[in-house]
Order: sequence, then structure tokens, then C-alpha cells
Amino acid sequence: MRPNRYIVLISILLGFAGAWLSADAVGQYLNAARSFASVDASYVEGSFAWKDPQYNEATAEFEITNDSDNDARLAHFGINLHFDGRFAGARYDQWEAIDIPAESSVIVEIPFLVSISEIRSEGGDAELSVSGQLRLEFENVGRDMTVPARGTIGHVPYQESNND
Amino acid sequence: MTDRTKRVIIRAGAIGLQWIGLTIALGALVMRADASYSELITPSFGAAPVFFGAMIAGFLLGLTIESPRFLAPLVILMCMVASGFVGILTYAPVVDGILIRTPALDNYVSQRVILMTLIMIMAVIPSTVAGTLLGGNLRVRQEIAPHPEDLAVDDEVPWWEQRYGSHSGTESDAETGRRPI
Repeated sequence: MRPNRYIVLISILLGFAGAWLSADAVGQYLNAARSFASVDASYVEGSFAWKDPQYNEATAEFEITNDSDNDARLAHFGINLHFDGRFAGARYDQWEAIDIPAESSVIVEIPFLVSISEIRSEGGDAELSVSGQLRLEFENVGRDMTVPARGTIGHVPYQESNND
Repeated sequence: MTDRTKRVIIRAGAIGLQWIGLTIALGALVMRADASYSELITPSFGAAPVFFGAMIAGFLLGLTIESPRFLAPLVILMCMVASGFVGILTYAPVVDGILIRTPALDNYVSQRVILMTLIMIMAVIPSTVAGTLLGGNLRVRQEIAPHPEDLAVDDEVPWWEQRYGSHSGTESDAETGRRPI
């Protein structure tokens, strides 16, 4: 007895549909994985500057690199400032999303506010560092990605020339 | 090549193509069933279509193949291979050099493969039995009345297409001690 040709034909058609769905799924997953692996956030060396001699406020620049094939949007950037490893302050302003086109990078200036008054006076002598994370949304990828951001700034005394 | 050999090759080829097609279709459903990938791969269906897809696949294979000795291993193999599509998806970035292979990744894949295999096997058992019981009319030759040519080659039907106990045996079988199948 030979197999029914219509059943075999239906099965083969289902197989073609399955092959297309499988290849599409692998392609989508690879695209997402490549996007997630192609972003980086780093402190721009020498960009940290105190805005006042009381070490209340400061600014620093961070470079966000998007080497993926998808446009990205920097949806949130939470970053803390540390004096000798101790939490001293953070970026407290409302964040406005920034678009980062594919295969490009942007430099964002982050304002810091020192909120721990007890150690504020150590701002000029302490070893400064930053840590935090940023959240990126990619075009064609349904899930956001959180990227850790860390950087060692070093000793940065107040310089009046920075605020001229 | 004799006519019998040609017939056997065509029949086995048709069954093979059917098995491959259904396995790939099930594998695609398995790939899109994982909640972990639901935001990365769209559309994502969840596990229910895997269950019902396995039922349909088992039913279609059951309609085509009558011999349980051939059907049961094929159906189980279909479930196992389709479950392995989780591995194809998960390891694709590893092969591409984006991710590294870790024991946690291996454990995740193996547990998903086992889970999907069990879900599909539970689904295919009743549907395959139903398919093989209901498929008798579809497995007959293309005409209602048996074609004389087909009658002539009845003894040459491959063993996987023979019904258990349908052969009454011949005198020569009795002499040689061969049991009818």
C-alpha cells in the first residue's frame, strides 16, 4: 500500500513552513544577541570636572557605542559617584531618551550631585569612581538591554578654569 | 532496477519526506514555544501549539504508516529530533562566536529538550493510535477495487507497510517454520 499522496504533500508543505519559521527564529535571535554584544559604555578620560569648590556638583562625559546593525535608544542612564569606593552622589536629573543610530556612538554629559554631605569635603582628595547601568532599547528587538557602566576617574581637584 | 525495488524506494522516500517535513514543522513550533525567547523572537506561541502540533503530526504519520513496529520508533524519534531544535536556536550565537558555551547553557538546553520531548510524546501517543486506526481507508490503493497488478505484488509489500497478522502464511512458510506476519 502506498502512502496517501495528499497527506505526504501536506506534511512536506508543513515542513517548508517550519523551515522558514525556524530560519526566521534563528535570524531574530542572532540579531538580538549581536545587538546586545555590540554596545559599550565607557567614561571619557579626563572629562570629569567639579563645578564648584564646595564639591557639590560635577559633570563627566560617557561614550555610548552602538556597533550593532540596529538603531538603539538610550532609555535610561543611572550612574553613581563614589569617593574612595563609598557612595557620594549620583545623577538625579530626569533622563531624556537619546537615539543612537546603528554603528555609531554618542557622548553624553552627566551631571552629578554629591548628596552625602559628610564626605563632600573629600571630593578634591578622594579617589573618584563611577558605577551604574544604562538601559538600551533596540529597533527590531523586543527586549531592553541593561549594560553595566563602570569607570575609575582618579583624583580630580577643583579647577576654576573649568567653569570659566 | 526492478519494479518492486522502485516501489519500495518511492514508498520509503515518501514516508521519509513526510517524517522530515513534520519534524521540521514541529521543531519550528518548539523554537517559538520558549518563554525565555518570547521577547526576542516574534511571533512566539507558547507550549500549547507544540502539544497540538505533535498531535497533528502523530496523526498524519499514523494515517500513512500502519505497522506499529515502524511507526512507534519513527514517532518517538520525531519528538526527540524536534525537541533538539531548542539546541539549534540556543547554540546559534555560540557557533557565531557571540556567546560562550557554559554548563548553565548546556543544562538549560537539556532540560528544555527533555521537557519538550515529554510534552510531545504525551500528545502523539493517542493521536498516532487514532491515525493508524482511522487511516486504513487512506492507505488502500488508489482505487476501491484492488488493481490486479497490486494483487500480484501483495507479497512484495515492504514489512513496515504490512498489518500485523494480515498474512495467513503459505505452505512454504509452514515448511520453513516462518511465522506469518
